[in-house]
Amino acid sequence: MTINRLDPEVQQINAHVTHEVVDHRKDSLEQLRTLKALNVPREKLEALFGYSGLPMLEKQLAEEDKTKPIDAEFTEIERDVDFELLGDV
Amino acid sequence: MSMSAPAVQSQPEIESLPVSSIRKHMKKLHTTAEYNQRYKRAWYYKPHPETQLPFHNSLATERSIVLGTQQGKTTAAGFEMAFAAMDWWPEWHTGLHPVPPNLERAAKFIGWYCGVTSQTVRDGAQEKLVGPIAQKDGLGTGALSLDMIESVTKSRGIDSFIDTIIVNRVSGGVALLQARTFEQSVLSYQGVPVDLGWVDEDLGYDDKIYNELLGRTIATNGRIICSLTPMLGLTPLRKRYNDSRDPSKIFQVRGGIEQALHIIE
Repeated sequence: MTINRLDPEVQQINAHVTHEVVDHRKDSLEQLRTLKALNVPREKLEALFGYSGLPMLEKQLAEEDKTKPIDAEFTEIERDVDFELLGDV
Repeated sequence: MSMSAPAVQSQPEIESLPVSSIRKHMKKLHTTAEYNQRYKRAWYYKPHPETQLPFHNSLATERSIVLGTQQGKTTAAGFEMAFAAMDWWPEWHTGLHPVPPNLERAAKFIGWYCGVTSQTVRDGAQEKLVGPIAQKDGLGTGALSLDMIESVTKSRGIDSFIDTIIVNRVSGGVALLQARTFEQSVLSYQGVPVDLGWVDEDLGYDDKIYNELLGRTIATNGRIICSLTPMLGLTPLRKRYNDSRDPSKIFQVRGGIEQALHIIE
C-alpha cells in the first residue's frame, strides 16, 4: 500500500482505431463503371446488379457522368489588349 | 360477499431490434455484391411477364392476383407494398406511383398488410417484406432493403411477429407498415387513413373487413391489393373481382403453373 503510494503503477493503453465508411451504392456504381468499360455482357451485369437494380444504377451512372468535369488539355491564347481603349483602368 | 380484484390487462411487451447496429455489422462483413444480393432483394426482383407484371403495372385502385400455391402471388404483392413504402420504383414499373396526401398523421405513407392469423401473417406477408427474422441475419433479406428499414417493433405475444415496420422513403419522410389479422374485429380496422392495404389470402364470406379497408383509403386516394389462392369458393371478395366490368378500377390477374417461371418443369 505504502509502496503503491510512493511509486504508483501507471497503465498505458495504446488503442488504434480505424474508421471505415462503407458505401455500397458508391461501390456498386464504381464496379458497374469498370465492368462496362470491360464490355461485360448485359446478362452478367444483370446477374450481378439485378433485373430491377441495373437500370437504376445505369441511370445514376449516366447522371453522375453528366455532372463530372471533363479533363481536357487547353492552351492559353495571348490577346493583344489595346490599353488606350480601356482608358484609366 | 367476496370482493374480487379487478382484472388487470397488461400491455403486450414490445421489443425493438437494433436495426442500425445490424446494418453496420452486415456492411462490414459482406462485400458489395454479397451485401446487395442479400440485403437489396428489390434490385433482383424480376416479375413473371404474364401474371406478376400486369399486376404491378395495372392502374386500377383495386388489384388482385389469383394464383395457385407457391406461384408468386405473395411475392408480387410483397414487392408492390415494398416499392410503395420505399417510394422506389424500378424502371419497368409503369403502374400507379401515387404521392401521399398531406394529412395530419404519424407517417407520410401508411400501409397495412393483413392475413388470416398472426402466424400466417408472420410466415407469409411479414417474411416477404422483411425476411425471416427468426433466422440469424435474416432481417432485411425481404422485399424491403435493409438500408431502408428504420426500425421494426416486435409484439412478444407471438414469437417473431412484427407489429410495425418503419421504412425510410427515398422521397423523404417515413412509411409505417402495420400488421392486421382477419381474426381481429373489424373495429381494429378503423380510424387511420391508409395508402395501401394488402389482403393476403381470401377473407371468407364476411366482407366487413374489405369494406372497412375501402373506407380507409378514401382520404388518401389509396389502393388495395389482394393476393389469394381460390380455396374458399365464390366469396364476396372473389365475386367483386370476377364481376368487375371496369378493369381500370377493379383489376384481376389469374394464372396457373405455366406462368410461374420460377417453378422448374
